[in-house]
Amino acid sequence: MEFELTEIQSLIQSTVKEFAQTAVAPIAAEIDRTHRFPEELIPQLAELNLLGVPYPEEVGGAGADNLSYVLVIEELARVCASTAVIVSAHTSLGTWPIYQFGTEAQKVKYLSKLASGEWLGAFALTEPGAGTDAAAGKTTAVLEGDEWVLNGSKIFITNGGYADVYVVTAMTDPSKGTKGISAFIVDKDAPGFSVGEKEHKLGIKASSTTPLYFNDCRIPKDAILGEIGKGFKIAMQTLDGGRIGISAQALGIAQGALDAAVIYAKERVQFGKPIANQQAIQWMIADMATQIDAARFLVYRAAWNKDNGLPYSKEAAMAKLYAAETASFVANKAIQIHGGYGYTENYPVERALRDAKITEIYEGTSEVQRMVIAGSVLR
Amino acid sequence: MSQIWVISETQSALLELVAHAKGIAQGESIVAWAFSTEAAQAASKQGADQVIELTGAKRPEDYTSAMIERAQSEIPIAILWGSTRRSKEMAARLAAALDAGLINETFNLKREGQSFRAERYIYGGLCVAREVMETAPFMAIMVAKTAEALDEGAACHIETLTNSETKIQMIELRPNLATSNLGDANVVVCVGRGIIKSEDIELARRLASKLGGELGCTRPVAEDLHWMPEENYIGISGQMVKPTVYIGIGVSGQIQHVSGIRDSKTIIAIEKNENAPIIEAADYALVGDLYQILPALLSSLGA
Amino acid sequence: MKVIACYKWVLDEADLKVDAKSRALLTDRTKNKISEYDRNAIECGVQLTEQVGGEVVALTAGTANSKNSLKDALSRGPAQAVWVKDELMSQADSAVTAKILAGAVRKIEEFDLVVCGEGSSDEYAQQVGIRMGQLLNIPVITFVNKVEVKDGILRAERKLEEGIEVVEVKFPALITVLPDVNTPRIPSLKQILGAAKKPVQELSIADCGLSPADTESKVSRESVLGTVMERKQIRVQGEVTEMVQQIVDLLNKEGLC
Repeated sequence: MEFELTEIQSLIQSTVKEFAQTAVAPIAAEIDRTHRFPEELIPQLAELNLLGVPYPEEVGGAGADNLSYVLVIEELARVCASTAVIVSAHTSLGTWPIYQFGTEAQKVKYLSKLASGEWLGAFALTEPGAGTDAAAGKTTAVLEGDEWVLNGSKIFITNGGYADVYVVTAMTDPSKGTKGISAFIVDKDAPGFSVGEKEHKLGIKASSTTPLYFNDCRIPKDAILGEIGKGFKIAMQTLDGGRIGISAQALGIAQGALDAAVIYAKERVQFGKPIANQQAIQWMIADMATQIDAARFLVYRAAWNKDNGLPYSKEAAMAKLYAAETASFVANKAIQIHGGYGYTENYPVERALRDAKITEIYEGTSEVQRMVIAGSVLR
Repeated sequence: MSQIWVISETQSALLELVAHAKGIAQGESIVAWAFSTEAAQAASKQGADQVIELTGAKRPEDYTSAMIERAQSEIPIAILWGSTRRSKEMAARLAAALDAGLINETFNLKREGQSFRAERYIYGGLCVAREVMETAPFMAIMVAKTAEALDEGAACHIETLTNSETKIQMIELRPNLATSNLGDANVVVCVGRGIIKSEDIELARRLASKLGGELGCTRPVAEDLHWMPEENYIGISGQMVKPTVYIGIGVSGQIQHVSGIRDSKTIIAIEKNENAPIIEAADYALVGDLYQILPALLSSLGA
Repeated sequence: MKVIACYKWVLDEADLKVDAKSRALLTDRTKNKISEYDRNAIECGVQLTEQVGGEVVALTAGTANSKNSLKDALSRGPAQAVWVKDELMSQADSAVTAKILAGAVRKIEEFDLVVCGEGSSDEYAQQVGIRMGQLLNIPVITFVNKVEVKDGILRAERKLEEGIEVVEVKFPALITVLPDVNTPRIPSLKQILGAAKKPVQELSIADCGLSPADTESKVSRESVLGTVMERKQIRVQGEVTEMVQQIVDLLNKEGLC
């Protein structure tokens, strides 16, 4: 059992770190402050093959493994959680279902454009009345001749308004419960489809989170993704992988906050010496670093399982649960170490705290993760 | 008789090198290689025992083969060079041809018999390394302005040498329009990233002017922001300064910059971040807002 | 066009620390990287071959640890890498390093251009590239910040203290480049993964034609200590007017105002 990254993984990590520092870090505070989606980063990410990391080269991806994907998200999140989730939602939620469940024709049409980053993807499951109770969605899809007609709405969709294509779940047979839900591929210019106003959120402010509206939205018959009635299963499996991405995001947020706290503790002088010399601070740092490493290995292990064809649902849930709670804990302590300065916008730790919170909620709340874990352990 | 050679295409450096050579000579004759008649005459009167005046080539580097040839027959015990780029090239070529060691940008040169020791900075100025060489010829590139030209005396013989050889074609030399006097300045005012917009550099310029000094900047101000020309940046890979007073304005004090100012007599820093490295590197640190302090200072000086 | 781009695997100076009391250099948690100016050298070679065709061979000499540099170098565009492995590289001075690299270049054969950084970010001796040119008996152009190749002729601009010298030379030649010659591109993931498939050749010092005498350093290092800046470190306190008065007093003492 090895606890070290391979040479190539290390190289990927250091390369993305450099990109994050030179291209992302300089705009991170500004895009957070102005709630601006960093459109200029998308082609740069695409050029470095960072928008299709775990997909094979033949379909336009980078051909790397899931552990490498985790490293990419982590390094991006270290400097900007918004950029990290843009990439993660696109890769794990928007692209994966098409890669895994798409027909040949669908893959030809969408996959290489998504994996190469030419197009951005998104995933729409959540509805105003269906969050944790994901099966309670009311958006419907009715087959009318050669077209599916979708009616309803989605809420809190990441990359809303910037995605070129959306994987959307809708009820095809209300009488069948979860087995009556199907998944569809909806192009951004589908008639009857529109995107609502961006949410104003506590954190990940540069990430675009919007409602989607389907008013007799017409899509071709062959736009159904996977078999009819299999949409819920597709969504759940998609979220398993998405959780790995989010856990990497949380890990990156935590690491970034710790990095900032360490620098500050060494430089800030009170009572004639750096506060890093004070045991109270040292113990905080120790706790933060230990929890981050614990989270790290849970995240890497989930990715490793996925790479090695092992079951990863429980592992991904554990990783997300722990990494998310770690991110909030670490960000909180990081602000504490910074004292008054940490409460201002001049230091990045207040943003880390605001960004961390969502990782405990989206792609399955921590409560859902606990359900998944317990379900697996108590089987 | 054994020889110590000093070589520089710049006259001022050549005269300093003669002084360095005098400091380590133990009976050797000091041979100065000059690249102009003026330099040859100056060196011949200011300490050299022999002078070789190089003439005829398009570029100083074209004399390298001639130097190699002469070195192979005379086998000087030491060869000292000035720290210009052209000299660094010539020195390294000579070193390779003679299979000799060469120490770059060195100071505190000492000799013990046939052993030569010198110090130099490594890791961007973080550390000082002491190097020793025990095989001849000892070759070193001396840090500029670390010796003073010797007083004038009787002139020695000047030999002219016209061999030159090169495969490189010189197309043109475009002289620098901006020249920086930072290296010689008695007062240096330096701006860093604490300056918010380029127009504000004017305040620092006025201060420099009032104190009869020169204006410099840190590397990011020149290379990243392009608010000042590259010639003005002070640091280990830019200008090295040794003023009586250095005033850093909004300079955080990264090691690469601090290495460039370490020979200043007095370092004053105006910086708002009390944790910036410049605070430890300064004699006097004013922790405060430069936008308040600087105008008040200018007003106090009547500038 | 065949370009050999030389690089050095150095300690990352960001990881280096100096013990405050003993002034000793602490290197226990340091990572390595390709020296900054050498990244420019590799990028220079790659850009030239992108313009006029050909390929770049990455070349380095180092201890066994340098093996970790190869994929990094290959991810930046070279088609293959050659490395000379020997533990003595941890002590080798510029003279020895240059001989080893020149020997490796001779083994690579039939090159048009060798590109080196103007100096390494750790030692900054600024001489290995130049020495190589002399040993290989090819013209050397140093401190280049602009270069182009046309019809087998290399035109370069050298940034010197007095100005820009524009020169031309026929191949084969060697250039040493300044960091402003280009901005190295960040490798894409495909380039990184592709690096694992590119050929690597390992050479010994003997393969480079060196005798034991050739491997003796001419310069040896007696000590390395953290630099000490002994400054007064006086914090000038008070209101703006008080602070300003203190500076003016200082300047007065130096006779500057």
